[in-house]
Amino acid sequence: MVGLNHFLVLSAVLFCLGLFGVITRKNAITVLMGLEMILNAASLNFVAISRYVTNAADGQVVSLFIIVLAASEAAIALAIVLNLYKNFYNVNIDEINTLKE
Amino acid sequence: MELFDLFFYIFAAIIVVAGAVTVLNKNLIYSAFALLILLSGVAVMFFLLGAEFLAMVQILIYVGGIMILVVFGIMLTGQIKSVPVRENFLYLLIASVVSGLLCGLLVTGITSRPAQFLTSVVESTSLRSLGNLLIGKYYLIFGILGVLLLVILIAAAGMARNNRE
Repeated sequence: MVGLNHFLVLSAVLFCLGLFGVITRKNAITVLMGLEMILNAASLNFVAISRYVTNAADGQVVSLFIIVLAASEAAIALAIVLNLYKNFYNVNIDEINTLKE
Repeated sequence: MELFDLFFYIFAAIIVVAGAVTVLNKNLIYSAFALLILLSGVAVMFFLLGAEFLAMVQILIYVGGIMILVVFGIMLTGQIKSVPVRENFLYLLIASVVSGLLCGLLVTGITSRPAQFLTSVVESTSLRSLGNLLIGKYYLIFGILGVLLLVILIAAAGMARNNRE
C-alpha cells in the first residue's frame, strides 16, 4: 500500500539525482536542468505532505508559487546563457571565469 | 487501491529512469527529452495526489514553456552532441559521495518513521478552496509574484536582445 513515505522517498531520490547533475555537468543548460529536477522534488514534497498530513490546499498553493519561480528562473537563466554564448562562444561554466571578455 | 499502487510504482520507475538519463546522457537533446518525460511523470504524481489543477499547470508551464526554453537554449548555443560530462575523476567522486550519502540519509530517515496512509485515496481538493487560498490567505505573495513575472518578462527580453550594433 502506497503512503506518504513512498512519495517522500521518490522525491528524495529525485533531489539527489538533480544534485548529482548540478555537480557533475559542465554545460550551463544542463546545470539548469538539474535545478529544475531539484525544484520538482521540493514541490512534490509539498503536495504529498499537504495531502497526507493536513489535507488542506496550502501545499498546492506553495507548489504553484514554486512553478512560477521556476519559470522566471529559467527565463532569466537562458537569457544569461545566450549572452554568455555571444561573448565567450561556449557555455562551459568552467571556462567562464571573468565578468568581461 | 490496487490500481493506485500500480500506477505509483510504474510512474516512480519512469521518473527515476528519466532522471538518471537526464543526468548521465552525453547528448544534450536526449537529456532534454528525458527531462520532459520526468516532468510529465511528476504531473502524473500530482494527479495521484488529487491535485488535478496543479498537474495541468505543471504540464502547461513546465512541459509547454520551460522545456521549449531549454530546447531553444540548447539549439541556439549549438552544443548538441557529445557534451562532456566532467571528466575529472575527483568531481565524479565528490558528486557520487555527496549525493549518495544524502540519498541514503534521507531514505533511512524517512523510512524509520511510521508510515502514514489514507483511507480514501481518490478524493481531489476542490478548485474553489485553492482559489480562495490564492486570493485570501496568500494574496500578498500572489500579487508580488505577478509583479515579479512582469519584471522578469521585461528583464529577460532586454537581456537576450542583441544590442551590439
